[in-house]
Amino acid sequence: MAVFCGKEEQFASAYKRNADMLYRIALSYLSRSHDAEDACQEAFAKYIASPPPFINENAERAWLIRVTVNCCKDMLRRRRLRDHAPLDDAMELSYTDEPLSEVTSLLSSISVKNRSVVILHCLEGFSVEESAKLLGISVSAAKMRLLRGREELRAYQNKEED
Amino acid sequence: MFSEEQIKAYKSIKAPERLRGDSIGAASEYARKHKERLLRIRAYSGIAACFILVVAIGFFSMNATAGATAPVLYFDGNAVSVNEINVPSPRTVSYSNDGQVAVMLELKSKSTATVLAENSFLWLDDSEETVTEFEFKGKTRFQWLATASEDAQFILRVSDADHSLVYILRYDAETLLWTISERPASNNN
Repeated sequence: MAVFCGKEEQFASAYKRNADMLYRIALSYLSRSHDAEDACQEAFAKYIASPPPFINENAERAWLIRVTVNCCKDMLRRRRLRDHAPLDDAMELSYTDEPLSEVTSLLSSISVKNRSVVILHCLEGFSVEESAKLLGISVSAAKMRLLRGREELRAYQNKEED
Repeated sequence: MFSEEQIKAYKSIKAPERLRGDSIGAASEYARKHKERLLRIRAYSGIAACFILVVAIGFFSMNATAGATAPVLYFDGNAVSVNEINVPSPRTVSYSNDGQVAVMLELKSKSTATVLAENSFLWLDDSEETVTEFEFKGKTRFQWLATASEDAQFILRVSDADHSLVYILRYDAETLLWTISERPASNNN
């Protein structure tokens, strides 16, 4: 296919390695499956159309995560401007799987700024240093965001218990 | 923060099958938009570069022209040229009984110029004494003083770094007329 410029295999392996993780991150951010798909689609489209030269797989993963997170932030910004969620979208949040539904509601209680570190560290299992590197922020900033994210989560849980 | 069960449920999320195909489809659309954007940026950059170039050329050529502009001598509001002009007007010329004439002139020069009068005198507007030479830049008004005699000819040299001009004030004893003109460039030295 002309769009690949001979990098079809590179995309195939990158997709295989990262698609599920990127989709999970996008879904955690956006809470709507079709929005998460759009964000991942945009990230992969950018990857196919103009892939930057990657040193290794980690650099490639970092690039994809950063692009996906940025797409999610853009979508959230746009969504805030025209925030009229149709009923069927709202329904999507109520998953049949109860633990998953709990995860998404917990994540939605964390501010967008702090959410990415919480997702990468607490759910994807990256260390704080790795999360900071993946998001292109300093380790101290990542620690601060994680701390604040945890505080927000705790406040939400306390409120729920009351 | 999150229970084992919650993390397990989170990790079980899989990307939909259609995502791969949709991404490839979106890539061609993205590539097209990206190309269009690049072309647009290049076009705007080209236009901006041309505009800057035109402005720069205009600015520099204006400065170059300004630097090359020769001083100009005005008599009665008109630039003195190689064509002789009669200077009989009482508004611009005053005659005294001893045959002296005072021609009111104005000089403009964008660079510093030297004015030198031969066998005649100059009287600057803001001066109390007559001189035979002065320097100026911009605009100055002065009177060129000469005394009439048989076919007299008086010279005024105006020169700056790039130009050297010669003006002649002539008295014709037959017609009793004073004329002023610029000596043609070939004879200016």
